[in-house]
Order: sequence, then structure tokens, then C-alpha cells
Amino acid sequence: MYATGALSFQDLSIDEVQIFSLFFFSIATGIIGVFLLLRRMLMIATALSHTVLFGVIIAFLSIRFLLVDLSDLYQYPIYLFISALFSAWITALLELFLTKGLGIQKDAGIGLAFNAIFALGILLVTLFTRNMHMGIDLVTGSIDGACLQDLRLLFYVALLNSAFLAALYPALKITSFDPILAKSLGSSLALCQYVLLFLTAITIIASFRATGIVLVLSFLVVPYLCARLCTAHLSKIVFFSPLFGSIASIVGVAFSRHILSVYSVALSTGALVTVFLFIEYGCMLAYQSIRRQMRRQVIT
Amino acid sequence: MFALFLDPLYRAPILGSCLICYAAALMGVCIFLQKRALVSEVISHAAYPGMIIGALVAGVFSSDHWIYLFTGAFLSSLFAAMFLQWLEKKQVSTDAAMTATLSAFFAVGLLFASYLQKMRPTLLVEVQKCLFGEVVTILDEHLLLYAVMSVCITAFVYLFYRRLQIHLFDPVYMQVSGIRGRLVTRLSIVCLVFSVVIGVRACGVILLSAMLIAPASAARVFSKSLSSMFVLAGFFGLASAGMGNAFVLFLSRENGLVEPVFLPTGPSIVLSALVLVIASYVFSPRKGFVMKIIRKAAFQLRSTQENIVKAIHKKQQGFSDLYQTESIPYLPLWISLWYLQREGLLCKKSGLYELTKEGSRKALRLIRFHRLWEVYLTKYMHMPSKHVHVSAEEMEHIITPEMALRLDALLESPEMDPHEKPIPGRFA
Repeated sequence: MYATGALSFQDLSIDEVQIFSLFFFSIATGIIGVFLLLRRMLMIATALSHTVLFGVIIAFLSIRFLLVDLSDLYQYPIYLFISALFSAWITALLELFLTKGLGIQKDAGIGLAFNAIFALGILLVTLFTRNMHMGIDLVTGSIDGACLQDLRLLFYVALLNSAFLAALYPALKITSFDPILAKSLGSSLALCQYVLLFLTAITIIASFRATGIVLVLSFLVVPYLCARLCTAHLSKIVFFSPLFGSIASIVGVAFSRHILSVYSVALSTGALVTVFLFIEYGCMLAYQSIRRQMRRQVIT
Repeated sequence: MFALFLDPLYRAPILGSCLICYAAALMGVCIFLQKRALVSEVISHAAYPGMIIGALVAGVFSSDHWIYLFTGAFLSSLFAAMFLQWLEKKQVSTDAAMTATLSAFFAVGLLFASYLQKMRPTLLVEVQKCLFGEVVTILDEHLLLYAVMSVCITAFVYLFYRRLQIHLFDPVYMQVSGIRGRLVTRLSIVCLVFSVVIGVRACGVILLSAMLIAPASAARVFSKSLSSMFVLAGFFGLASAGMGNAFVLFLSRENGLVEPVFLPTGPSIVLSALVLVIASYVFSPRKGFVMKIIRKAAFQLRSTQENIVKAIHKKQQGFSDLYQTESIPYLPLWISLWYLQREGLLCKKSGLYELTKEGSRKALRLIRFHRLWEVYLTKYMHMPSKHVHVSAEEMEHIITPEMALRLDALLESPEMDPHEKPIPGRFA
């Protein structure tokens, strides 16, 4: 390549791709996570994180009738949308059927529903691809093998979530804190709920190539908890939450690279970033408690 | 198919997974009754880092690995369980806290797994088996361990049954009344962790919580006491493991229907458990869909019989007369007539049906209920007398003799109904 002074995307090294990918990933999850936690939809998010596998397979089957490789998912965004829609729909449907239709108690019903759908997804994956390792890839995530397509995908998902935030912010604010007032003011409760569910499904599917389906849950929860320690204003929380996620991502990727160069041990970057997220939370907790101690000392 | 249970290749996986799911189901009853299904998710996900760290330690000592894996998993799951209890004491045990815990443990596990991949890749393969469960490699020597575990857990449930009952349904009473419950609570956590750690072999870390909840949910439908719930849950656990294995084996061998295909066993066990749960709720004797239909049909039949008795009391009729005047469909009519004859309420005389003494007594009783209800509606509900007949037609099948006594007392033994017809006496 000639030194033109201009940076093109092809020149990014793998670390930089990872950093950018995780940066967009933390924006996407940070924004969605705030509202999931405020509306206490975390159980549904956990359920969705297991059922998106099934949704992905059905999307493939319905469009192409042959599941080849999960990377195909990212070439055709239509797969992404159909999978997300279908996962959200089937999760809600099965959970409603078990808890209201049959009468199983609520937590058992959700737990049973999403585990069963995940089991069905694993069976179908094995059936169609003869490859059981796809399940393991989903769980561990594969940010270590990040390529430009993943970056593009995560960028679009981050853009989508930010657009959602910008467009529906007033409605989201009211419906998350006071649904009854929202209804009386005419804000669309159902719209926010369904769009939020749909975007959660898309974010989780995007996380297949980032951190994996179990770790994305911490990306949804922990940045909000960190931001909540700093401030109580929703606008500031929505700004700080992706920020905390990004800090953890950058530090994590840098650390992973360092360990790789110095000790030549290839640690899983997704897991490392998640661990740094929790360390960040611990630091915030410690900082808050120290501040409280100091304030108490000043007063007395 | 039953020969498979004795086949040396398959009997260990089948029996092993059955024992594992049986033990998991027993402890799942405790989880289910305490309404803490998410706890089982957290504990099963927490077994993963323990296994990895155990594998790393085993790598240091270069020795027989499974005891290290097992101990590591046991300790980390125990740590997770105690952490959750601590969170609960601090009143922080929301969904968010538990999900964060789940994720944190799993992240640590994945981190060390990537390290293990460099150090001892063979051990990592062993551990990855436990992510989704691998039943095929269970051998006869493992069966002993699973049998011992099942016996221990059954013994725990049996010996500490009373205290477990109090702990599950009223922990505050247990604390207040001074019953020594600390041993039971601690042992139940230990048993839960034990069954989870062994159980991840069959179903996998991710799916195991379904095997804890599902048999208990299915058992809840049929059981009226805790002991029956334990027995049924254990049975359902066994059954779902058996069905899951049978399904996988059926598909993997030469059969006439589809090409042989190899499916993982863990997910099929979970799906069989789900099928059992749905079937239990559909066929539930109290609230189930099937029983509701049966009960409705039985009630319809009984109403038809009583209507026939009333019609014959009015006028002796033959079969075709009944068919036309009462507009009852052919089959229920035939069944009702047969049943009424069997009960001795009807007899057939020269082609016409006639009421016996019992039958006429029953008819008079029905008429009495009908007319009492009409009086009640006109006197107390102030309904106009032309509208009460329809309601009375329905209520006469539902009113019991006790209700009629109370109506009688309330209405002060009326002699006439709103349509100026006499009400048959109490001992008609």
C-alpha cells in the first residue's frame, strides 16, 4: 500500500477491527440495556439470548432451505431481521402459552420455554449442518476472529439502536418509568415494547460474532449499573452506559494483545472484556463508597 | 428397543443419564417450590469455570483428571450458591443481579478455557463436552458414581423429609420455632450443587436448569403432597431421560422411516421433558383441557337423562316420540335410555317407556327443584314470571338436595310456583 496519508478500512489490523467492533457493540448493548433494566425485561432478554439460535435457523430454512454457515447471516441483513422477528415472537408465544395457557408458575415457565427452544435450536443445527461445534461458537463468541463484515454489522446495529433511541426517546422515558401516565398521555406503550424486544433480538444475534450469547447479558446489565452509580438522570445514563462498555472493550482488547505478545497465550478477548467490565463495576463501587466515607468525614 | 438397555454399548449412557436426571429432578422440586428457577441457571453456569480451573490444576499435577474437574466444579457452584444467598440477605437478588452473576462466572470460565486451550487442549475437550452434555461416552464405571449420588440424594430427601417440608413451605416458621434447620438448608444446597455438577454431563451446563424445573412442574400437576411430588418428579426425570435417549437411538440406527442421523442427547432429553410437562398440564385431572371436555360431556349426559325422566313423567313415550319432541340427538338418547334402565328408573312396557317408583320420585324431585328456583327468582330477584322458566330449566340439574332444603327454609315452604302449579312436597 502506498503511503497516502489516508486510512482505508482495508488497512485495519485485527486489533483495531476488534476495538471498533466492540466499541459499536457496547454502544448497541449499552443503549438497549438501559431500557431493558428499567422495564424489568431482563428475564425476557435472557430468554431471547437462548432462543435467537432457533430464530436464525428458521430464518435460514424459510429463505434458503439449507443452512451453511453462520457467516452467511451477515451478508444478507434480511436474515437478521427475520430471525430477530421470529425469535422475539416465538419466545413471547411459548412463554404466554406455558404461563397463561397451561398455568405453570411464571419463573419456571420462562426458564422451561427458553431452554426448550434452545434445545430445539441445537437439534436443528446438528441436523442440518452435522456440526455440533456451532453451538460452542455461539456460546464463546468469536471476536478473536473478527473480520470487516462483523465490523460493518455491529456498526449498523449500533446505528439502528441509536436511531431508535433518538426517535423514541420521550416515549421511552415515559413508558419506562410510568406506564399508566404514558397510556393516559397517549404514548405508544406497545410500540416501545415491541421495538425494544425486536432490537434486543437483533443485538443478541449481532453478538454471535462479538462476545457470545451468555456474555452479552453482562454487556446489557453492567454498563447500566456502572452508569447508575454515577448519575440518576436518564439522559446521562444513556450516555455513560455505552461509555463504560467502550472503556472495558478498549482496555480488554489492549490487555489481550499484550498477553498475546508478551506471554504468547491467546486469551478469549470476549471473556476478557467482560471480566474488565466487572472490574470496572467493582472500581465504581469502591470509588462511590470511598466518596461516601470522605463526605461523612467532612460532615462530622 | 428394550434390548438396547442391555446392549453393552448403550446401557451405560441410558442408565447413566436416567440416574442423573432422576437426581436432578429430586433437587429440582426444592427449587421449583421455592420459586427460584433462575438459581438453577446460575448454579449450572457456575459449574463451568470450576471445571476449567480444576482442569488447570489437573494439568499442573498431570494426573487423573476427572476428580479435579469434579471438585473444581463443585467448589465453584457451591461458591455461586453461597454468593446468591448472600445477595438475597442483602435484598439485592433481582433478576439483574442473578443474570450478572451468571455472566460473570461464565466469563471467568471462558477466560480460563482459552488459557487451557494452550496448556492442555485435551482437557479442554473434556470440559467442552459439559457445555452441551455428552452422554455417549458414559461408561460402566461412571455408573457407580451416578448410582451412589442418586442413593445419597434419595436418602437425604427421605431422612430429612419433615424438616425439608417445613423449610420449603415456611422458612420463617422454621427459624422462629427453633427447629434445627441449618443442617437441612446447608445439606440441600450441597445436594443441589452435587446433582448439578454431575448432571452437566448429561444435559450440559446450558440446558441443565430445564431438567431441574421440568419434572417438578409436571409433578406439581398430579401431586397433592410433597412426598408424592418427589416421587413423581423423580419418575418424570427418569422418563424424560429414557425418552430422550430412545429418540436419539431410534434416529441413529437403521430404521424404516428416515436416514440415520446423530443428534445430541442433552437437547432431546430437555425436549422430552417439555413434552411431558405439556402433556401433564393438558391431561391434568383438575385443570386440564382433556378433563374439562370430559367433565362437560358427562354433565351434558346427566342433564339429558334428567330431561328424559321429566318428559316421561309428563307422558309415557316411545323412543321415536322422545327423539322428536325433546330434540335430543340419537346417540345420547340411546345411551341415556340404556343407563336409566340400568339404574332402575325406567322400564319398558309394550314399546313405551315408563317410570318406575324410583323414577317418578326422581322426576318429582326435579320438578320440585325447578319450581323452587322459579319462586326464588320471582320473590328475591324480582324477575318477571315469564322469564324464570329458562333459568330454572338449567338450575334443576345443578341444585342439590341440601341447596333445596335451604331454599325451602328461605322461601318458607312455598306451595305454588309463579305459574300456579303445585310444588311437590319434600318427601315426594
